[in-house]
Amino acid sequence: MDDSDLIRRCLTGDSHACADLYQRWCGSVYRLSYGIVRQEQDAEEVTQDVFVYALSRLANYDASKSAFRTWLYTITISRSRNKLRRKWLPTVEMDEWSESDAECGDEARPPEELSMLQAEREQVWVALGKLSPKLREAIVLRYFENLTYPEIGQILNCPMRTIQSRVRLAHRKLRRLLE
Amino acid sequence: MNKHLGNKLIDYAWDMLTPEERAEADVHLRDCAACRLELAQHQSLVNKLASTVPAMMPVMPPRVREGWPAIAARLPQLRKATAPTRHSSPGFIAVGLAMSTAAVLIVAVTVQAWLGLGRPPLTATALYASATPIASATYTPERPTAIATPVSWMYAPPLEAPRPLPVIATAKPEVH
Repeated sequence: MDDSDLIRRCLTGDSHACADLYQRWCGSVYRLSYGIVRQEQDAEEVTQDVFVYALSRLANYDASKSAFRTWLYTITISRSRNKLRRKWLPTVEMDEWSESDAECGDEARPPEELSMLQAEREQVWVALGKLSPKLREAIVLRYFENLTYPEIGQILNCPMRTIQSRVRLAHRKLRRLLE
Repeated sequence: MNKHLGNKLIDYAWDMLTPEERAEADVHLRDCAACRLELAQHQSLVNKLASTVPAMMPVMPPRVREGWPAIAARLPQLRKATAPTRHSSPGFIAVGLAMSTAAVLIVAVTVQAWLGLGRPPLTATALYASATPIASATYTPERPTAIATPVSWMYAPPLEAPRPLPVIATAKPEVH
């Protein structure tokens, strides 16, 4: 069953269809949110808020304007920004990230390679944390599910030129930070 | 040789050029070692990000995977949709209780009426159809009422001596 069928059923109040839609998209929403808010608990809260908001306003979704995932990711970005705004000082929890990272199949690598890889990821993680949220969003979205620039523009509600400009700025800053 | 590509090299590394722009850049890169070197540096960063950023996205924790009930509880339209199913059992219980209470009351009234009057028990239909008249007809002030007092008796009007009927003149007075 595709998204449009599930959405049609959700609009009739079918709770099973809503649960199916949640199961289909909760992982992507969680990961995208985590890339922005950078904390597991915050990403969980954002995921819950995203689905409460999206399912209670599903009638407003217009399939002729955007794909469902684009609409859902737009909400995810918006909710993640709100979460960041409420937290005055964002903190980086490397332990949390390292734990989740260990679940990505890295345990098969030799220990020295693994430790180099982890050191590199930590560097990138810290550097990404030093970007402004808008620049970070562009980078995270670019590597998130291979989204295209037009899709990123739609999600962030920006013209392509703005997205390109943000990517260039983020690139220069990351290069300085990682050199 | 054309001037160096500059910012376009970042766009090239991030795959943000149109096919035409990319073809033009390729022509320039064939002859420009400086731009090729700079592009290699940009691409090194892009490759580093490509190999690390997706790996930073964590595996979904079980709390998220099993989080649907908490979300469903926050959605009023779902609560409304499931409400009739949840309230159907208490409804049946209420109706059942009301019917049993009514049955018990009918049996009690019938038994009391039969014991007290030495008459065969009345049917429920008869009781419902003429509750007050029957009670009124069987009411006797001498009978001790503390033993058995059917509900309908308590509201029966007290017996009174019948008032004399008004005299109605039937004959017209004669006019002389």
